[in-house]
Amino acid sequence: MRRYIAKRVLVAVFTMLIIVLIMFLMFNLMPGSPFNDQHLKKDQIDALYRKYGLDRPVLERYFRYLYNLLRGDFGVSYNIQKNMEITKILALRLPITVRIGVQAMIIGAVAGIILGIISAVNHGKAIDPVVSVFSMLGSSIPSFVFGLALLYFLAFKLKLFPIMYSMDAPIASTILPSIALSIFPMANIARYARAEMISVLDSGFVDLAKAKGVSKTGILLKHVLRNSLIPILTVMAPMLVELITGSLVVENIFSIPGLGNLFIMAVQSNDFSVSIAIMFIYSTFYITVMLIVDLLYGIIDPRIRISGQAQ
Amino acid sequence: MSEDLILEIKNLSVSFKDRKKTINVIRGVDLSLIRGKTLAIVGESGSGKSVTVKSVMALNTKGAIIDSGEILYNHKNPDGTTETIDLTELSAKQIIKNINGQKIAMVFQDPLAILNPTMTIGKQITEGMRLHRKISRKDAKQEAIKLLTHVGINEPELRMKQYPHQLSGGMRQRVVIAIALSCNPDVLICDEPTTALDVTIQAKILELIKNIQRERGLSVIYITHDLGVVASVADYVAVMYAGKVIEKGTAEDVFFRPAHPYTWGLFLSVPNVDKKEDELYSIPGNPPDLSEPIKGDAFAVRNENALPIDYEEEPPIFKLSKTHYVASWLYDPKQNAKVEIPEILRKRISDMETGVGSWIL
Repeated sequence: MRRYIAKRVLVAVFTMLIIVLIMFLMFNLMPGSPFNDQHLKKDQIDALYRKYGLDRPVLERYFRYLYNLLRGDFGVSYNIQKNMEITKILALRLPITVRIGVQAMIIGAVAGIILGIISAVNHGKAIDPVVSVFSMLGSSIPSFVFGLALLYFLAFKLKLFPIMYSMDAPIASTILPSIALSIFPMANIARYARAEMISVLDSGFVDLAKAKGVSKTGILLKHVLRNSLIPILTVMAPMLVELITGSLVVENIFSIPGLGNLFIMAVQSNDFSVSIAIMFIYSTFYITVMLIVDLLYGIIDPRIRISGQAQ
Repeated sequence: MSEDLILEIKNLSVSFKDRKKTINVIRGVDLSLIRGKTLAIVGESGSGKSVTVKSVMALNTKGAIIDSGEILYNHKNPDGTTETIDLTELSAKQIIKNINGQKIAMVFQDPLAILNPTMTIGKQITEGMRLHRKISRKDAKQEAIKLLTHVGINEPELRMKQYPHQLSGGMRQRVVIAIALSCNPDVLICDEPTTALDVTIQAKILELIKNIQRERGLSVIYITHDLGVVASVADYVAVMYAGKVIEKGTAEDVFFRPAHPYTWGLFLSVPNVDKKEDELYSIPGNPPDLSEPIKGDAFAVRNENALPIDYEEEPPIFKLSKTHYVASWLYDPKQNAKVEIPEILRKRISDMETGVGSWIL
């Protein structure tokens, strides 16, 4: 198992190196520069390029970047917040995005699985199609529609939550965006959980549990849930990562000073040191979550765990 | 009634309903199980043998409805009094809570599909004990280890921590048997317990069930289409066809004096390894469609010797001896039928009686 983890981590590191390289090459090929100011003269721009080391060849910059990265240094912003260290900018914004994402993850996963259970257990009864309709709506209506609706009714009309993000009330101001973000994964997880559980409820070991005299709830919690988790987890993981990486629109609607917001600004103003840093963080998230999911498989299903040991 | 019956199924009818049609899977089954004895129910797939026993334990799939009949379970209390429960009057929930595992337990067909792949063997055995007998985790574990040893599993402590996929097929079936025994039931229902196993393991599992039955005084019902299994374990045999019991009696009655033409066909389709016969016999035609009403004897269309009345009226049960019953117009004195048991079968039976042949492959 340990060897397996080590191998996975090594692959992850290698993947990150390639991702950073591709980003470097892409930004190098892209037209425009971070110093697109009409008042700047040619020699002034050249001076700025020299100052930030942008006049060096791309590979040299790449390796220097990697070297700085190892020391936890993302460099400085070129124009959004001039000369400010990116780590400092991230320190302000990342926690907000992560908070919204994690809250949305928890709401989406828990509510999705519960809806799936309700729907599967009542398969063929009136509540089942109700959940199915919700799943369909939830996965087809974009999150900003929910965001706007929540904002209008709960924040503007009922005044239960702040309309704009407020640093003083981080919890109250992140609840609505989290809910808006969670609807899509919730609906999809509910759909998968339902299908998976209906098939697991049909398995032999459910019959054996009934023959043993285990109650419905017992069967569900002890036998069905765990056995249907693997396929659910497989579809759940990438969706949950997207909550963090894909919150651009929702952050905009709720005026949240998060990573998504920053990312859009950085791309628009060619501040590619910031863009690369954010993409680096997104990639790290993705790879880490996928690694965790892989390890979870082993914990949930002994067949995977035990064959892994044997290798 | 002089006999001590533990389970009586009276005139049981079960149907499966969906939006389009109703399938009458069980059409008036009468069966009884004598305390401490073994009853084997035989018949081809779809004859309703599995549905019959699953009705006892409320294990039928959704949509199965008991239309009529009684399932009486006569429970003997420790003080010697007998208590009769009609299981058809209980809800599925009540049966699962109060009967399953504790009074009536089941050994299933496919021991891989039937064990939970993500639960240790130990947990699966102790689950029922902890639930029904309220014993501590430690006691349950001790008892489970004893049970595993009892069903012939070596290194029981190690097995307790293992998962089903780490065990062989035969071992898994022993675990399923251990699970069935974990709450000391009175009745053990074995649904094709050896079908999914290697031939070499089959005999061992049957032997194990026999030994356990003897030690614990269990009453056992076997569901099988393997006549070899029936011959080696059964005291009583019931033959089912199209949702009805068409012949029943002691094992000697049915094996040595088979009376129903369907039973003859069933026996003839067992390949005979003792004699060289060119072709394997199979009963012509197919079982009837149970979603249509059946007129007369359900087997008539496949029966070469069918009487005119077979197409008109359903045969009642005729009593051939104190223990032997058959549902066929052949035995109605009024029909004056002269149909004899097929010659090949008669020869086989006489071989068996003299000990030359056997039903076991």
